[in-house]
Amino acid sequence: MKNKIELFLIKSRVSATGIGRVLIKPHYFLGTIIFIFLAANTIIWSLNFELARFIITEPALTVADKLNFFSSSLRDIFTTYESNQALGIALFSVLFGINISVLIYVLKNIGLKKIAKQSGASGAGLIVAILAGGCVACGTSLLAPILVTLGATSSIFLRDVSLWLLWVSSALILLSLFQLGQLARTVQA
Amino acid sequence: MLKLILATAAIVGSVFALFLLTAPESTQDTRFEASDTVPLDETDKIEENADFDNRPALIIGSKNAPVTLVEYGDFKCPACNQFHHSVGVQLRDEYVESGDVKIEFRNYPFLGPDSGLAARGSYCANDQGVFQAYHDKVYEYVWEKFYSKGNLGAEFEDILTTGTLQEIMKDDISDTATFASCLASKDYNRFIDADLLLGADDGITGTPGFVLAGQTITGPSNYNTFKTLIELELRKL
Repeated sequence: MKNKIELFLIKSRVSATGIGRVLIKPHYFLGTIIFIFLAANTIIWSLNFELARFIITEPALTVADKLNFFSSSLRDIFTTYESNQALGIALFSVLFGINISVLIYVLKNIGLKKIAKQSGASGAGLIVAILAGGCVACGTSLLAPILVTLGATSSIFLRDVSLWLLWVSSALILLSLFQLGQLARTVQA
Repeated sequence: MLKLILATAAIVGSVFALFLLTAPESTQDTRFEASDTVPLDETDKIEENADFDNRPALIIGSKNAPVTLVEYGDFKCPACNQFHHSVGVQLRDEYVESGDVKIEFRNYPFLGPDSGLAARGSYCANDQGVFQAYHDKVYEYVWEKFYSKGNLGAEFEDILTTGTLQEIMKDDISDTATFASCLASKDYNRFIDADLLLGADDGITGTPGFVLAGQTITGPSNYNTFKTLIELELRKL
């Protein structure tokens, strides 16, 4: 048991070093920021895609207005949502952004075959998080039709389930990162 | 390397944009889901009971304000209460007090029988010209007593009784007897039924829900979301 823990800690350190090696590269760092921005906005606007589409296509708004609109929703995440939910969205988005960047790095330097097994969690994680993303503090969400079909009608149940889905998807991405980071570490500098 | 990152970002961005641009308009009729949870009238009677013609608008701000923000809320809903205390306050300071925007409150009660009672109380208070005070004080009461202390489970308890609402409004209501009988009467359920049906038509699927500049906003949103839409509307004047 002790050996397993030590092995896990060593692997974690290797993985963290690999991830760090990717993120210090300016291109990948910039890519990570972009992916975080996209992931967070996809989750935040999952209940209001119509409005997001309106903002994107509205000619009366400048590009700066539009960027400000979407970036402000990230800035205000902790005042708009309950703290647990905001933390869940932020954590997932950051992990997702890092995961995509490390995935690209590993893909480019190692190839698809070696990472196929390890990276599966990322796409599934995003889908789960999108479902969980919109606030369901009161009323319904994208999850509601599914859960109501299953007999769940309590909004507290919906709120808790959506939050759990965010944590679960974050854990899946963390698992993916754990594996990808180790692969990234093997790339010759 | 840069090309690969940019290409991936472009693909992810394109998928996001494509999803936004091709997402179908919401065509789901939500009125039955909404009605099922409201213990005001039988679901199948809501349409025949709803009184759109005589329903007074519950207005916060100047009735002559050029821009209208429609707010669908439940007085027991924690997220509605959070909105009231944060973005709601900012909107009032910036746009409602200046006379640019009025807030039209529509009831969307779904959190138990006392949600319906509190909704009815909003029309009773409006009869006496104190709707805004009622709106603010009921939210304040629930916040102070329950949600600010982390007791979110109170949304499923019977916390807004007739006695509580009377006590909350004792300093604002001039005719307490009329207010009490109004709360007891189910006459104004016809207005709440109308609110619910309007919400269904507006695509409201939860609270708080808003309609502004022809756009439906579901769930809590930040101040800038409202500001952007309000400014767009004001530019058109």
